[in-house]
Amino acid sequence: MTSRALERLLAPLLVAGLLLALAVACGVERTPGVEGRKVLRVGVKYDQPGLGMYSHGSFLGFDVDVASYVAKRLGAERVEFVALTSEQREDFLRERKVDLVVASYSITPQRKTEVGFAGPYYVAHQDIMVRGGERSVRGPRDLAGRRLCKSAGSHSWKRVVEEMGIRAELVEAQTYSECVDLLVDGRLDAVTTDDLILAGFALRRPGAFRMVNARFTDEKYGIGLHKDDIGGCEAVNRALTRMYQDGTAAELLARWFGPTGLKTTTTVPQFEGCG
Amino acid sequence: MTRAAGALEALRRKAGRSVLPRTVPGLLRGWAAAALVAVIALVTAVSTGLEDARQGVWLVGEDAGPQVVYTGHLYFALSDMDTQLAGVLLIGSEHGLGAGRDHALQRYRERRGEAHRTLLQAYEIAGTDEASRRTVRDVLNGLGRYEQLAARTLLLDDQSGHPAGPPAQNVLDVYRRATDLMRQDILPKAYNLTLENASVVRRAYVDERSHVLRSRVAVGATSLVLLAVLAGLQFYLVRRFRRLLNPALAGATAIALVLGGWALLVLGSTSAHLRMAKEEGFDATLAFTRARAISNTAAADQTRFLLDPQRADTYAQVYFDTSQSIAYQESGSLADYHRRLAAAPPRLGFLGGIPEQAEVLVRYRAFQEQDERMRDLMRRGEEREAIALRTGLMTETFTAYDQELSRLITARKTDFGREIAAGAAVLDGWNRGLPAAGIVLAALIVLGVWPRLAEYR
Repeated sequence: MTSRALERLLAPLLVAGLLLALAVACGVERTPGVEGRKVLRVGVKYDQPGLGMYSHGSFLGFDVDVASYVAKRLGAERVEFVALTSEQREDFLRERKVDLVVASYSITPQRKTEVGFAGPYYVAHQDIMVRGGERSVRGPRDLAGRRLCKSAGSHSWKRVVEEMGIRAELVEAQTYSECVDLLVDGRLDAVTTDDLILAGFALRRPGAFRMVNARFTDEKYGIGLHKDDIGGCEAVNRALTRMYQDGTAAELLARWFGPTGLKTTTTVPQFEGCG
Repeated sequence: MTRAAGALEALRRKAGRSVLPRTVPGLLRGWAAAALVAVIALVTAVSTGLEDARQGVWLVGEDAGPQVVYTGHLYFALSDMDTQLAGVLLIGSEHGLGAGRDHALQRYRERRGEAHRTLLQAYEIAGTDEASRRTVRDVLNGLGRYEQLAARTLLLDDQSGHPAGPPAQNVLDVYRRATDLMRQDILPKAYNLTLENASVVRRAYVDERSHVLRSRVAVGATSLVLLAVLAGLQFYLVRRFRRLLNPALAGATAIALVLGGWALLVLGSTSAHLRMAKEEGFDATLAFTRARAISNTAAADQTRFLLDPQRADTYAQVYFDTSQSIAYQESGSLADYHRRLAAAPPRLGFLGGIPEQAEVLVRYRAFQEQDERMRDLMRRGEEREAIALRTGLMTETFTAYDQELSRLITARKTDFGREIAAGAAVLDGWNRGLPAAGIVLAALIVLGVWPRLAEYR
């Protein structure tokens, strides 16, 4: 080998070293999380009055406002809302069709094995709603002998009738919306499920209903995200802390549920912890 | 041709033509300079890597980590204050029931002291993080209001004087305000504070790990470059000067090999210790600390269940939810939960995946068995027996479970300390060793080239 050949060798060698060093410097992998994303797709309910409701081309409700606040705190410039049903929540997150789910999504140990949960952003409670004039129902035990709505696919009535062993008379309905109509018509006496859901229905007919404020369970409404996004989950929790500290949470709760006479909690809930 | 490849080609042509020296001494000097630059690069890479590793060990092991574990105790202290208050109300004027009223009040005061101390610590840890500082202030203010309500409850309870069981309605009204404040306002904030601090440690840990990983790649790459340049230089000397072995350069090659290899090993080993410390030590300590804290609220919910008949259903439900997060069994009701827990070990929750014979699970199951008995007694209307059970045997059973959790926390803390110490020990001695190795390397390279250069003077 001549010295000329060596000269040719030396240059590529140094260039290779330089490139390697560059690659090392830039090679920190970035996992796609919800933090710092310009556009965030958020899954919300479209048929839940007061929480997530699609009407006249836009989504309205407490969940929607919470999602907007959190997205802004995460640094998103734009939020795209995606309508989803309760059954679609896990799949949409897993398939990354949405980045976040804010859809009266209760945190349960089972669901925690499938998706990540930030929050809860609110702890709802199972409650009872009766007609406006009804004063004698003050707690679940008072439902004995009264007509209670049994909504298809819901567990709320089971808690009262099966777990607590209260002998209420069950009246079947397909949806909570139908339950509420039956309550108005006087064909049943009480509807029981999460207080925020009940309050959402009550909003539509001011004065027609009374919330019992019995609060006999805790339903932790969490913000669903992809299971690996622990940094994003922590960032959402920080956003939620701020939401309560700066008074936004109290303001939103008063705006959406204040008119129904529902007692809401305006201090930050106990988070589940990420990962 | 891509732009990068084009630039490379241009560089190669340019290098081949004019930048590199043509004369033999010039070329020798060029090789030696390249080797010295590579030595500096390697030493810098190793030193940066070690510094990153040291930083990680310090942050996780001595700074944020232990402090977070310490503030984890805040929730427990606060929760236990309310537990003791509920206990005092339940035994009423039968002061000798269970461990007794004086004992409960004494513990209440101790926990209050602990809570205040940890809060001060938490404020320091919060540093410049405004949201966390605000949370600490809110907890402190809430605690002030809680203590007032607690004092009023005790005063009213003393005045009314009742046998063991639910106190008078006016006492209950004030106690409800106290316990609601504690459970809905203060405790969540304390819990979130620990979670937030833990997230700071997690982020630091993830950052440090990626730094160390990057450093390992850098050390590997610079070692290879140095070895390649040394090999090239020796090859050139063999060709040009017909010398078979240059002892100085051979020595330099050996040292470069050892230095690079050793640094990779050390970085890998520190990284592994740090991972063990974080995952087996820190995370486990925090998980058991959280389990201990919420177990305490569960025990208090049993007392509150007996104390406040109007809210008994709610307290039973909350107890059920809390039990589920400690050891999850898919079940529809508390009675169902008791049955399933006795039949199979939990899969999820804080105690999820723990082997069936583990002491902590054995004791937790004993605690739940007695819960079932207590609720059975209440269902049959045997209130006095239920109260006697709760203040007597159940307190002992719970204490046994709580002590096992404490033991686990201590054990994991020890694991944590050991891994951190091991990680730090691996890094010891490099402060002087590394510059020395760099100097020796440089000297050997100069020594290897010097006699050949001298031939041209």
